Amino acid sequence: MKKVHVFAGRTRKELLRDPLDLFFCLVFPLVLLVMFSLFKIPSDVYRIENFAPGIVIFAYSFVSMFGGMLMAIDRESSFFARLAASPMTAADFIFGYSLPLLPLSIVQSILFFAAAVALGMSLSWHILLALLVMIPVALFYIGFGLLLGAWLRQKQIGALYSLFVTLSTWLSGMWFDLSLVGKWMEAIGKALPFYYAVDAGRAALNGNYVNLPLDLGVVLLYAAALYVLAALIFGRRMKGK
Amino acid sequence: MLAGLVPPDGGDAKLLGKSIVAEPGAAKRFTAVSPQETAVAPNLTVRENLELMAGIYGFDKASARRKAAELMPQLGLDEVQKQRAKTLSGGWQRRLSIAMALIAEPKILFLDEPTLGLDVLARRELWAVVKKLKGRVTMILTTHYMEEADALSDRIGVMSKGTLKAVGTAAELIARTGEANFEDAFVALANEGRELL
Repeated sequence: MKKVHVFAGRTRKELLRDPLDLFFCLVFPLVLLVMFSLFKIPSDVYRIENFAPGIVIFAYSFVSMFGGMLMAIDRESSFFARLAASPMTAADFIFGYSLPLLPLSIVQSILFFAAAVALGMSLSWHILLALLVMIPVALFYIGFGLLLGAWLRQKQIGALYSLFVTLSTWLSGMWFDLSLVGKWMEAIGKALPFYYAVDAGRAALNGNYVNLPLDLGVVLLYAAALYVLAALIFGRRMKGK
Repeated sequence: MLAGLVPPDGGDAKLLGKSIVAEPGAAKRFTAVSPQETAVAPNLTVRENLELMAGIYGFDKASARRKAAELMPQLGLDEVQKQRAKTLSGGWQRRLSIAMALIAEPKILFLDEPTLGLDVLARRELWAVVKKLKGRVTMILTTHYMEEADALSDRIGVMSKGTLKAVGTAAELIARTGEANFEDAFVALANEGRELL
């Protein structure tokens, strides 16, 4: 565990010392939240209680991307040979990369919910529940980044994330209701975890808990699968495959 | 394979009695690698890079700090200890890379082309570092520079097309081939059994 903690400290420093990472993880989503709330779009999706969880999840995709890219950069450099020759295991690496990303995601949730309150969202204990609900969602996004980091090259990750962010926002109902994208797209959206992630955040903020177990169950299942896959692929990479 | 980066297709090797196949984790505890290219965490300072590697090899925070403080002056790194690794020149990064391998107190150190791409001055400085380490740690150094092998090695293995062609001191290998210098001896040994154009 000590090795994991030490390596996690390195991951944290690498991420926090890059101003671009901080801009996309913290500033850019905040600007979007403020802009969209000022637009006063007459749709239930853009009501601040419904829109804020979407923005939080949108921000998670940047944490996910930068985590994955750091992993890919390491894999493509000689630094990886040094690490692979050390006593660290694939599981140590997976935890070492992901542990610092979770607190960063929690900071994002707190920041954007606080901003939402400043922009008119009612201050209630539902926000605390939403903060808890967002933890499995953050784990899913971090797991996705780790999988790509273990599997793809840095340049491929950058390109794929544009597609990922677009698709995940479309298929989650983040910007518009999922029923508006057509029957097939709705079916695909409901087979993927993005819809459930956004729905979980909205359900918690609005105090409507009926769908919460299903939402969180789907998200956690996907997250677990991503972590296992990432560890398996990373283990193969460590053996030079 | 010996460094644990690639599993062997067949057979086994033992490092200080530990099998690289049956006990790769145990074997890795007393080996360290300084890879060919720069192998540092770019956004960490020199000191942080050293403490990171010490921590990964199981030293607690206080020991890691103490070891970094002891090692930096030995390799002349103390004057750049607060600089981020990515801001160092190639020579300094290579020096840091070797220090990162040494901080784990390995019994066997793999140096993969440690002076590749360095200018003459930086190369000679690194040679001095390697010479200082002799006697403290067993080093396996791979190089394409024959003068480097001649200057630094106690025993030299000549590899060609994945086959170990000969092992011995530079003087022994020169005597074996009857050539005038080590570079010519290397060429002769590497081409043994092959027809030259």
